Amino acid sequence: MHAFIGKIAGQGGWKRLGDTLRYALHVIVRPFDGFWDLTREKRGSIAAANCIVFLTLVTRICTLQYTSFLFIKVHWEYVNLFEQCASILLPLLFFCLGNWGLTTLFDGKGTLRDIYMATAYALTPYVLINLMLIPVSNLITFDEGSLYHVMAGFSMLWCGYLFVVAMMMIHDYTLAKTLLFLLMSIFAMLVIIFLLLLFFGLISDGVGFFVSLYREAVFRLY
Amino acid sequence: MKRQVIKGLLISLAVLILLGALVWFVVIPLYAQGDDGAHQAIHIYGYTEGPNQYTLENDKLRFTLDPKTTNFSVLMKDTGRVWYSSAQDALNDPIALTADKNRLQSALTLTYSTSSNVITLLDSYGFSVQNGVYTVEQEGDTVVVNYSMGKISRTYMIPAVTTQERFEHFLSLMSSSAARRTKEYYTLYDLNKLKKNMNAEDLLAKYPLLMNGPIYVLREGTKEHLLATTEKNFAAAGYTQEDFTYDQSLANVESVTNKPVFDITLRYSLSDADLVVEVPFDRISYNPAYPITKINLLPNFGAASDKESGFLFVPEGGGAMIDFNNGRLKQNAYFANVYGWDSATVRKAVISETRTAFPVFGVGAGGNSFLCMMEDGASLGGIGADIAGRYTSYNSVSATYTVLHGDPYDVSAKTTAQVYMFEKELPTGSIVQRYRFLKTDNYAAMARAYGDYLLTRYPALKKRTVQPALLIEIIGAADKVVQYMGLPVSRPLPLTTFDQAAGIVNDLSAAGLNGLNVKLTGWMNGGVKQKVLSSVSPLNELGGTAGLYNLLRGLKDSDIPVYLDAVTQYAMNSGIWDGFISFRDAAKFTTREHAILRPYSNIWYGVFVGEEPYYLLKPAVIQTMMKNASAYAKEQGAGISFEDAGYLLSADYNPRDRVTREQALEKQAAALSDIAGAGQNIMVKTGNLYALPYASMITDMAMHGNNYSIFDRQIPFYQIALHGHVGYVTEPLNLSADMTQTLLNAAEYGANLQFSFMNAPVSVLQDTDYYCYFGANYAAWRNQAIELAMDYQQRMGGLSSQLIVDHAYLAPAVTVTAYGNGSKVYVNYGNSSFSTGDITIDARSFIVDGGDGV
Repeated sequence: MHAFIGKIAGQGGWKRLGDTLRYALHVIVRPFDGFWDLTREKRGSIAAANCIVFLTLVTRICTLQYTSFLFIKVHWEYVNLFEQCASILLPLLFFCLGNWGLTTLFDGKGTLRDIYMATAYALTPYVLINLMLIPVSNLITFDEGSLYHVMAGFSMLWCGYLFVVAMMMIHDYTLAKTLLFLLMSIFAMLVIIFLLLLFFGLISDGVGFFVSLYREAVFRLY
Repeated sequence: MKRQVIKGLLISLAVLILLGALVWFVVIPLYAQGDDGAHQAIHIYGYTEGPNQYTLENDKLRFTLDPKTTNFSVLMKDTGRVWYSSAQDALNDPIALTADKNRLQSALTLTYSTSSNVITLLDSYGFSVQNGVYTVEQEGDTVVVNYSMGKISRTYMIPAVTTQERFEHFLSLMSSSAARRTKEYYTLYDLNKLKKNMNAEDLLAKYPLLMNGPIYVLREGTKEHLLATTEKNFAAAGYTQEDFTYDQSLANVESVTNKPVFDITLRYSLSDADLVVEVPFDRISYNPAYPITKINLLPNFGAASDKESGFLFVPEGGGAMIDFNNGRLKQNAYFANVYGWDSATVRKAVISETRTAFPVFGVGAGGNSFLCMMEDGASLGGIGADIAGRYTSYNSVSATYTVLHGDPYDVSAKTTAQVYMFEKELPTGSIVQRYRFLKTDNYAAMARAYGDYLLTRYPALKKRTVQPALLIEIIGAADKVVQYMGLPVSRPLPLTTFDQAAGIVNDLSAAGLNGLNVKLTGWMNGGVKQKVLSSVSPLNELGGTAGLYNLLRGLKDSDIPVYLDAVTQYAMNSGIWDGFISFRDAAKFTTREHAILRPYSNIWYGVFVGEEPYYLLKPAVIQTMMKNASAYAKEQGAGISFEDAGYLLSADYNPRDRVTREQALEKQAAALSDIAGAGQNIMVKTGNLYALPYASMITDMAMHGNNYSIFDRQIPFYQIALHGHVGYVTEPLNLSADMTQTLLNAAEYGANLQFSFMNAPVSVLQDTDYYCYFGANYAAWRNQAIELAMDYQQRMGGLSSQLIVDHAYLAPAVTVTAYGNGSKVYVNYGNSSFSTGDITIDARSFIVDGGDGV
């Protein structure tokens, strides 16, 4: 881990990681400024982005495990942690790929690395608020649940807002163009999913063909 | 250059291998198949006049068979009662259709199928006797009836092949027009004047008679009505039976056919007071395109018309009676599979388990009765009974045997067509039914006669002394889904550790309960849903090998017999690591697919597709599993309890290595015999007949069985036969649907009690499939269980080794069971008290009167 961070951040890797992580706190309150400097002034780092994504996963899992049963319904026995992680990581991956694929064609200034970093930084409020909500959920009553729900909702809104601004700043787009390309990115994600499904569908059909060939052969010959 | 040569060589080698594989695996088998299709042509029997009747006689019975109908009667010399093989006066049945009337007069019916599962039923009367395609012979003390059954055209009394000279002789005796017409249906063959398209050698091979001169041959495919006219013409010309026989001998050809025609032989013989009916499988011939699926043997033996009174006895639960003409036509007719369902055949839904543990049925009427004991081939059979008024005006009970099993196979996902695939050959051996005639129509006396029969058949039963017993089942572990390393996985959930089990048993023992027997369930290989028994390892969650050792030593010290429970027939939740390889160990359906089974829903009766499937094991593997389990238990000084062997019986229809159900039964019995022979105690569930001589205790004894509404009474028939010879216990009282009902049943049927306990609170079972154990918590049950068991033992304990000598219904809901020592157990199922003499039985309770019991 140290070597990995060091390689990206050069000497004094831990310090730089600390600085770039702390920068996330700046970004979330001054997003326009923050996201612009994130890549252009190299105030952010991939290592920090990785950390934030990792914290997001931790937050998600801790939420499932430790949030008071008053507010979420989880059958912990049946929770598959790998599935939970994939449900966050895969959309993130598809979004970065889809967005990058589109914006490179339409004057987007951000590289794939920039897009990933900005998206990851935009997740910061989710981690901060939801981690805090876990102990809170265990202190409040069901009637006070609106506090919990409002805060949880607010974290998502904040993330969404940061997201839009991040894309705007990274690609140097206008707001309208950003929104358009966000929509297009979603479409691109769907295309990726569709292609994957098609791919696996064809493979399973291919396999199915051989299976039915085998069954027929067995039926005739055995 | 060199590289290219090598490359070329490699490629041609690969092509050669591929071609070789193609030839070896596809072409050769494809052509080798041809042999399978060819089958022995089926010989058709022809009836010739013989004696007017065939008789077998001994000092108790006289058997008389009328060769005109092949129906027979059996006279009981003591009472003068005559039992008929078919319904009497069937032709005047007001409700039966023609086909039903034929069936009423038949000695057997036969069902055949085709690859598209078109099922056809043939009866011996309509499809054999009426066509005259059968023979009757007497071979010493046996009367043999050979039937050809099928849609055969009648044999016409006309020459099939004859010499020109003979043919023209008969033609000259006919009128000129008749002679001209008759000649049209025959072809003249003459070696000297052969037509171009004819081959002399072929013709000579077909008609050797041709050597001696020209011949006339009946044209193939001549229509039936023309044959009939021709027969008349020949008869008018003085053509006789002798002429026909002579021509048959000239022709030197047997009449053969490729139509769905079946040959089947019945053999009747007398042995003391028994009539033994046998259907040897090696005397059955059929065309493989039309597999015989079912044989219903003597469907109407002892059939009683709607005017008679009496009852049909069927072996549901411990036994049940259907009164003649009870009018319950809205209810289904009765049917039960002997030894339950064969898991190697597919079923789409399970509404109730149609099973019986003892293959016997009977009829009682007018002071006489008969019992039919199904002997050889019983495991292929099922017992059906129906009352008058549905299809016919007769009440009857009989056995139907499934001889060739078949199931649908989806050949390809591309079509919806299903092909039915059947077993390739008949089982070996024969079907044997033994009819025993009794001078009583009292069901208890019939049951005692059956008990005598069992004692003769299984002498081991005589030697037993049965002690009062109380069986405590202890549930070790069940599986539950838990979060493990981030994944939801199923792991054994400890319900009762070995230490806790010792605690429970000691507690019960200290409370003063006698005759404790302990059965440990779910103690190894993953718990209740037990993995295959390639190896046996007690669960570490429960205390491991050491814990089990301590438990067993402790129980041994206090002289409490222990039985270790094992599942031997199925591979649940097992993989290669558990020593289970499906290709090697799993049984197959007739479709050659692995027998993969799934649980059925209690709600919509269909298959739970989402549930984890499990495999049925091959009978030989089952044998090994039984031995592995019992060897381990023996090492530990414990008895062995089988969850399935002796209760469930399944075949293996793998065409390469078929094991019929009868052979599987022998394998199970052999394994049980080996284990019992080595001095180990065996516990089986419900006690299938073949397991009786080896089992020291039978659990979950079937009593009321499926409470079908067509029954008029349920009776402890099996129990009367067995009580005092085999110890048996009820289903766990605390887990049964209605505890009082089970307790009353136990009192009526003379069963000991069983409880099922676990130490863990019921709440841990939440979210598992084991809601069946919701009533098993020991702490909650302790006091009530001790009280119940103490009371029951006090009242019933003295009766365990006694024979049941009588049983009767005093009122529709009140029974009395009488024992050899004079005790009587009165059971009142009703909701109001009942008095008889100076005895009053409170509502829903039982009392024991007299003998040792009080």
